[in-house]
Amino acid sequence: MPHARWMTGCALLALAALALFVAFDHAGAEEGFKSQITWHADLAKARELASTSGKPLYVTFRCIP
Amino acid sequence: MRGIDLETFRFDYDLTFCSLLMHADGTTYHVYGGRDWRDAQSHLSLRSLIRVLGDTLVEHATYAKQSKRRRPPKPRYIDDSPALKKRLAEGKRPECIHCHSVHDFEREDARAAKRWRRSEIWIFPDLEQVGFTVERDDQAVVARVLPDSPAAAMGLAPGDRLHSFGPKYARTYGDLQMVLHDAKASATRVRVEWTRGTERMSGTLALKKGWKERTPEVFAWRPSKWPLSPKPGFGGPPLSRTQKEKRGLDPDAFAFRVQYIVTWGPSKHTGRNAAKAGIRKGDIVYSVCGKTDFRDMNHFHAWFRLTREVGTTCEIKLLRGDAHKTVTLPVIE
Repeated sequence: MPHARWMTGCALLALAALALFVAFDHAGAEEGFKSQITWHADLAKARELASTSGKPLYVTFRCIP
Repeated sequence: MRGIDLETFRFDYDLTFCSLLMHADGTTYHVYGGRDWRDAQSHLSLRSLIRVLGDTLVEHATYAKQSKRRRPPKPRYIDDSPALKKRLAEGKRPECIHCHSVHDFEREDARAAKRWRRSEIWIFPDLEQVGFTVERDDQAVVARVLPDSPAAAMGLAPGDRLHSFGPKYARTYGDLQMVLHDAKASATRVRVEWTRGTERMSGTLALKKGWKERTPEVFAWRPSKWPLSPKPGFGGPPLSRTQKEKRGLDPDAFAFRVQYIVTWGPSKHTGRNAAKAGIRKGDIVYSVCGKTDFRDMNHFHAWFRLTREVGTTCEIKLLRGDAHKTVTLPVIE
């Protein structure tokens, strides 16, 4: 699958495990999520990683002019 | 969008931003994104994103325990589009297939296969079309219910918390839009469940034939409007109040300077048509078929495409220097 040149991020967050997340309140959640983010520009690899790690995918499509 | 499975990564491709919260098997828990017709940022906020990320973790943990797994649909790629293949074969190599290009190629393919209906332009309806809006920061909460609407008839009220919307556990504006997008354009019903305080409630949105149709003003923001026909064949920047006053035009009405006449691409005949009718670069257009209240250029272009009929004519009033002129523009395919 070709790299996605057409967007700034076709990205994935390997999200925190539930046990970690529920410790956050909304004020602190952003930092909590950021610390758990792994960004990938290759969607196929991201899916593979999510599949093996058991974590959900967060895929962002962003159009740049 | 080349190489992206359009069956798995489904969203409103007209958007400039959209996120999908998913399982690796391709199941979409939530669509985060979507916008109303007024503002591209209308339903994007850090608070709402964090909320749906949290909800997704819970759903993901529950889904992981299920033995039943989603059977993936057959992948579908824009690379398989005959219209794109044709363009590539002609030596035109689009460097980048934008998200909104997906709508354009799909429409072109459907037209070529003679299975395109004009009603198919009404994609991803605005929630206001069924009579309600949701809060920006907590998109499961109803913000406003429009009077005399299907949502009002169903009994929905501001502050209600949505649970299920059609077949979907809807947490976001994008989720709600996806359900409406998938619903039939003819008369149909959408089952809704919500809570008001501690009370569990439910109802059905009864939608009449044509409920997906919208006004040019609401449709205007969509980039997928550009290939629609008929096209005026020209455009340019709108004038400011001061610029209009300087030229003796009504400062509250719409006016724009003709900066371009289309001389390129598959629509160059529309530019030739405009030039032949008498439109010139630098003209100040202040009335189109008698209409002077366009919100912006997108509105002008959407209005022309959605309301003008091929074979008719349209009177364009304009200023050239200090002279007022009227041009009769044939509306062509």
